Amino acid sequence: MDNQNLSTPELIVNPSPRTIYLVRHGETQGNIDDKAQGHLDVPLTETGRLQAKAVAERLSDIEFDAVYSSDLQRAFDTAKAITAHQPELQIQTRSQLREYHFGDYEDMTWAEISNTYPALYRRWKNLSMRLDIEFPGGESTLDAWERVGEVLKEILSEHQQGGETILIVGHGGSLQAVLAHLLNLSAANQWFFLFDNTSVTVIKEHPYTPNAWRANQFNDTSHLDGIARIDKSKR
Amino acid sequence: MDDPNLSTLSQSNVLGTGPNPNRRTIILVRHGETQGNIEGKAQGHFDAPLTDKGVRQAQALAQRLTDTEFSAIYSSDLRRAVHTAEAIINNRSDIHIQLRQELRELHYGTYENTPWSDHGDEDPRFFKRRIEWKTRPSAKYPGGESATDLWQSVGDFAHELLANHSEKSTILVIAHGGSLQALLAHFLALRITDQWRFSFDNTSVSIIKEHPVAPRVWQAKLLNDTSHLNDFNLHG
Repeated sequence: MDNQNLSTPELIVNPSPRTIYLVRHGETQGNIDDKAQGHLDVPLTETGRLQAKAVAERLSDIEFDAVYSSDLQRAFDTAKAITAHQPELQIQTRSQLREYHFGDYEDMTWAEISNTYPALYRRWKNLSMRLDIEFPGGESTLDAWERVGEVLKEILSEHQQGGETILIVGHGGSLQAVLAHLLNLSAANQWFFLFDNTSVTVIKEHPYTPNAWRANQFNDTSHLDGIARIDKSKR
Repeated sequence: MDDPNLSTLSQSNVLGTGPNPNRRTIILVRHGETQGNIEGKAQGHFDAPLTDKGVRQAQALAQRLTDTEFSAIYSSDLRRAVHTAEAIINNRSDIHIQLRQELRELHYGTYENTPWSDHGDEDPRFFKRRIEWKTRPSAKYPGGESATDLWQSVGDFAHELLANHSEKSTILVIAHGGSLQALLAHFLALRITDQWRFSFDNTSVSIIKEHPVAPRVWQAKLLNDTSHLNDFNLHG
């Protein structure tokens, strides 16, 4: 046995690990039309509201200690539906949890973008080049990675008691960054994880190692059976 | 020299020119409950059967997958995985289970079938924890394997699987917590030291899909879903 490789780490027991729920907002018209929809503030569709109700029903047994949401209405309205059973709980909005700011490309379909700006589209589709993108008039994907990391650090520092259950409602892009930050993955790994509308993802702190997080469940949409969902994977 | 701890599988820099007609889907399933799972034992190559509850979990899983058509089914050759696989193919005459040693759990050597708590310093799970979280993948269990050993055998299996199924297909893989972590990390091009971040519960379903336009780029669609156990109160 290679004892050198087993040098003893400092032992820390963490008796009350924290749990973080990540939920993506419900469907919007832009999701259906496959648009670049970042800071553009659009409402949920009728289906989106049904999805929010379904995820609320599914999470109705869970007592959240805190709820954070992007301040865009598609996220906030989803958060509101989920916390209906805890009216005393205030939803804390954070603009850093917003989707990417797509700048000039906001509200264009990805098909239009690919025709009009083929070079950008190629970099967006090539996951190894995506990190270098700066959207004209918007932000870079690295900016988004950093702002999400900062707000996450703030959220975690506000809940240090142990045992807390925290809900974060956000967007496809911002939740990918939250997930990758928590799991200590590299920024380039975040795009391998696809979040569907109102999907539930559960991240838990390791019982013996504080501040080390594990994915317990990812992108579960079983509450949507019977409700229309967009299959992002077909794109 | 090649780094044995890198995934050679996923190529995130490959860009497709259009929709990929041969897009593949892989469904990862962990075996049902064993007595060792309940008792917190190190159970690697130790060949334990499913408990009664484990059998019922496998049946609930089989029910869930009834309508899914598989192009191929691969399983670890250990009993707990094979029994889970057999429950799934119960009513399918057209397909057989392909057994692969490479999908086995890590070989825990002299720790096999002993409680993790026997090996602790102060913390009962100390030894396991330091293997996992000290991120030293080359550390071998006494008389057993290292994470790097498993990483490489699982990587070999993944290459074989992709070579065997180059066209559009849905492939079922039944294995163990450790081997599924390694498999997932290979496909998602994660580092070997990232794999511990993903939990696989008994009979959980995870789905990874090839990127719609970029062959050999894989994305997670669902991880560790056990909703089929809800109605039966069969959670671990």
